[in-house]
Amino acid sequence: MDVFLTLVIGGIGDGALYFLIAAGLTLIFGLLQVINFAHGGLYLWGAYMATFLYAVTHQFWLALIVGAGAGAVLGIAMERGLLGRLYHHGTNQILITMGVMLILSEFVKVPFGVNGLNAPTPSFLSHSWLVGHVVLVEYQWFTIVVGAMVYLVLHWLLRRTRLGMVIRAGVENAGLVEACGIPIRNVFTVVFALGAALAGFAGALAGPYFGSVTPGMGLDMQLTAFIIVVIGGMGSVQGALVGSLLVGVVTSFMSFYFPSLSVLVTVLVMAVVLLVRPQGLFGEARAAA
Amino acid sequence: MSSESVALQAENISVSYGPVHVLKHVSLRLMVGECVSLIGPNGAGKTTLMGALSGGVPVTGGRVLLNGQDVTAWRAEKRARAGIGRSFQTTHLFPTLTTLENVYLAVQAREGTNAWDYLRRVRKRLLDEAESRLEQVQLTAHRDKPSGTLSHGDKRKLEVAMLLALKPNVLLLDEPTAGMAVSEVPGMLQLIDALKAQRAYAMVLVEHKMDVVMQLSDRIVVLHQGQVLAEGEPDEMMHNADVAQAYLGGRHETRA
Repeated sequence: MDVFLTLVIGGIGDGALYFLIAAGLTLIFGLLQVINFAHGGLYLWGAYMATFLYAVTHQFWLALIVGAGAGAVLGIAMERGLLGRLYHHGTNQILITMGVMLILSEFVKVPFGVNGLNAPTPSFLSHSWLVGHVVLVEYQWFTIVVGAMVYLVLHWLLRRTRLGMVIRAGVENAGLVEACGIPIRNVFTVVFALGAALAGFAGALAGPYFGSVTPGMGLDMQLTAFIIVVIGGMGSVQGALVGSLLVGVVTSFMSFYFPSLSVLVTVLVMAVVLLVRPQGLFGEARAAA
Repeated sequence: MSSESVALQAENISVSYGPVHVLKHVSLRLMVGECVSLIGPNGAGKTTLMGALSGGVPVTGGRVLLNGQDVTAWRAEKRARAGIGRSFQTTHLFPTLTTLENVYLAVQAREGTNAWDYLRRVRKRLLDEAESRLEQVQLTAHRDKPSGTLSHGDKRKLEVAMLLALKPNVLLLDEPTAGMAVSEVPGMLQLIDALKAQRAYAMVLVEHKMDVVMQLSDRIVVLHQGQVLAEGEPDEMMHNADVAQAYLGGRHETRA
């Protein structure tokens, strides 16, 4: 039972982190119809910038903000500089974003080296408690709370604000949004920047969560986040949440009992979901038009 | 003909996709209060011309003037705010959004467009305006239903409500009766006729049903292979030999 609880909590913690990345990825896909294979690269750079800044200044909150900012800046540059020319060119987008992913992953080695950096947990978040035989790690709980807050803010944004209504409408029919006199092109940039900022922010959180940052962390996270988005349904933030928790908890159990199978099982979950519900758990079946 | 009364003018519009010339130097002048129908066989370039006027299709040559102002470089969204309202050939709605939200989206387009405006909550005043638009087309009963669940006729009514919510002075109607049941067509015609009677809108109508065209148009422009083949009053067009040759396949047709 104690092991069970520990694994569940660990899985939810991982899931909270996954959610931050998957939410941006799914929003970007839903509205812009772009599968951003560079999303993990934004996460990577957020992680490195935050870790570097924390090492220099020891300002944790500032490091989080800078991580998010690094993601947003890279995201805006990508959307305005590259993707803006390639809307409705599916194959080119995939190639371009994959290329950006490789560049971002390699380039991080130039200033920071190939071996990764230590990412210490700030002292005020590094407590842990033993309740019965269950270990409660403060930073893990912090991540879970942050993930939940981000979900609530996104939910509020999408359901209650004008921007949210425009985004939801744009997911369904971007051309009609434009015919309604709404500058959809700027909304695209805002959404891409938002998703990119979330990825950078997740990177900044992930450093202390895993204890280090490495050049390969972006690619690993990219794969996981992509699987989550497919499971949850492309374009659905709720789906991203459920998918993240599902993948987080399943991976947590598998890596405890059958470590060698953990990636396989995640992909298996995806395959089953695709077989039973091809549009994902919360996805809308799209009309072919 | 004073220049104030010209609502929309297309000068020498050309549209090409690579080597394919879809429109070749098409000019069109639309007066306030006038209804002009575009007719022509499939592939003549009617919908492309509508796109060029609304800003959805980039032109490779020529100019579009709205109330005398050159809007050729404007994106569709900016032209919509300036008064060009466009409906689409196939039903264009946001199916999972409610009927009211659909209209709200069109109503709020005239509000500010800076980032801060977008982060504000959905506003009561605009919701009220959206509600009254729904009332106009008798869809109040369906306000909280996802628009995707409406009947086809109601969907097209909702599209009209959204179009009018933009407060346009130019209406581009691309086959407003397409896909409608025969029993639903008269309702739509009445709606368009009522709009026309207000004399406030300049309308371009693309339509295949010739009885609709004859009933609503002040002028007919015949497009053929991307060029204006002929233009004139409805009766005149129906008796034009070139038009009969190109559009009606050589068959001389008169109104029933």
